[in-house]
Amino acid sequence: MSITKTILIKSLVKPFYRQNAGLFAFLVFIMVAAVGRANGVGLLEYHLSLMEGIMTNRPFLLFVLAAWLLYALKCAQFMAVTLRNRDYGFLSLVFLKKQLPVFGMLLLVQVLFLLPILAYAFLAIWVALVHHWWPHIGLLIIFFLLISFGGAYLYQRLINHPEKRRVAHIGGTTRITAKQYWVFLLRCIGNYHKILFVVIKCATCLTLFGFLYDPGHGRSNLEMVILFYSFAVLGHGVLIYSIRAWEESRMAFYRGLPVSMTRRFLHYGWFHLLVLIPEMVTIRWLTPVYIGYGDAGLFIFFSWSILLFLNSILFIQFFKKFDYLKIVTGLFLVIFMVDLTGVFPVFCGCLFLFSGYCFFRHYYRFEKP
Amino acid sequence: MLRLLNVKKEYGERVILSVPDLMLTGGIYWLQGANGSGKTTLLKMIAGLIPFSGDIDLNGMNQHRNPLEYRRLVSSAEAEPAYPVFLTGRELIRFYQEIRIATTEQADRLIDQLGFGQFLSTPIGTYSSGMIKRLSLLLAFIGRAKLILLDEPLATLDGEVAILLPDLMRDYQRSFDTSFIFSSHSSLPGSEKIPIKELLVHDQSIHLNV
Repeated sequence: MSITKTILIKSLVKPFYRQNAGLFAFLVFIMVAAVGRANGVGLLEYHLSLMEGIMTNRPFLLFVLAAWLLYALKCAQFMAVTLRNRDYGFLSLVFLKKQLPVFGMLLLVQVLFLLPILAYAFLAIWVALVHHWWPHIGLLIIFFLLISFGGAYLYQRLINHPEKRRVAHIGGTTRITAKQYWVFLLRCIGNYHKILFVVIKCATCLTLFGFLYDPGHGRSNLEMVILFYSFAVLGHGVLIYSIRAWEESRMAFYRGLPVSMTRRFLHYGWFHLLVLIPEMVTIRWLTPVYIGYGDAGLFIFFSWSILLFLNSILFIQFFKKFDYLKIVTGLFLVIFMVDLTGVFPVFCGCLFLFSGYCFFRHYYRFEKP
Repeated sequence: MLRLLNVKKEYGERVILSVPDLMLTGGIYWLQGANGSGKTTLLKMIAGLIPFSGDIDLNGMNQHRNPLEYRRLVSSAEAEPAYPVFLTGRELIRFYQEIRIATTEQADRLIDQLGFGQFLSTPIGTYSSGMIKRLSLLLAFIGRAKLILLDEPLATLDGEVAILLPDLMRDYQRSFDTSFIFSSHSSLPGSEKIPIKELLVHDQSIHLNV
């Protein structure tokens, strides 16, 4: 491979995957690990029927294409931000070549960005080929040609017209007046983690809806719901880790400001409660027909405690991402065991208290290595 | 004013700073030392940004026992400040103003003095490093802190603003009885107007040059 391509892959593709490792890990978990053998249906059968569903159901196909387009926009946003970054100024040297070779390199970068969805789409096309669904195959091919070539064209435009680099920022910046710390955190999500946020919210809300909404049989077995729901809620770990990393690099000054510990904790508490609004709306919608008021409250308290816990442990030590994911997995196993013993409300209370303890004990003693 | 007692900072096995007992009275201190001697670490410790063992007291307030009261007394500007790029300078100034319970008049005066007016409404992501430095100095001067810590205040700062610093320090010293500790590899331009004491970081310790 030429040195130019090596540089591009090292400075654009690798950082992209590193930055979004959490999102991919969560998606893989949802798409692979979370799909257990239920009712005689295994992983392969599940994905085969999912692909057939994508191809035959027009609204579903549109939904999937919209999700893939969002992903492509995320790639574009990453590219725009990276090209703006002073540390990547050296890339301008790489792009001094003739326009066509540069376009080719950018196309390669875009294809590497799109690799995860391209792989899935390739399998979907293969399923469509088996069934001779030619219009669907054509649609998918055109869609991917458009986002691949369109993306490469957009990147070239960003390189040739640096003044346009801000335009590519998806949806612009979130405009909420920042007077309180929790607003900074919300704006961090709005500016950097919109897609991750939407993915997590879809996972949690669809899990709640899928398991609790059962018009035929009334109320569901809550132990099973808790198990699957906790798995989806733990997906917030990826988001929380990214926000804490951002805080350490951009909000370090806040620790030196005269704000009481209680107030600091309340800001985190309020922020995580706001993050849970979609889940609260879903639960409220299902109450009281499919879930009782007490259980609804417990679900919300459980989610909140988990989020606070995931945030607070990062003040004990800023764990490496992999170590943090191991802790999150460990917490899931604990929840699994607690779920079987029937002391779930006590566990939620302990989780909340432990989060507070961690925060108050370690906040000022914490230093990012 | 400021007392460091049995203060120790280590990274792993390596001792960065070890200060058995140091008492500083009010005034303006110029912190000097070679690269990597621990100047920034010391300023961050005093600012309450990083943990350490031992005690740091400011006007009788202990940083560990009275974290809130201590932080009300101290303010700081980092050598390489970093802020959320999507915020505007105005938002950050208002945020500081609210936390430090500072008047709009004070903030406006500082904006005017440091020539920050035209950049207020633009996102910090569009600022040059010099502008970010100006903003960090402006934020450090918001409120009525009794001790302001300035880490390399001259780095990336243009001469026009650098020359204002001694006057600003003197104003704050007179008006609010504020003391300063600043680190720099060169003296402040126009610093002959103000009495400056020298502090030297050497061999993991701090020495006061009288």
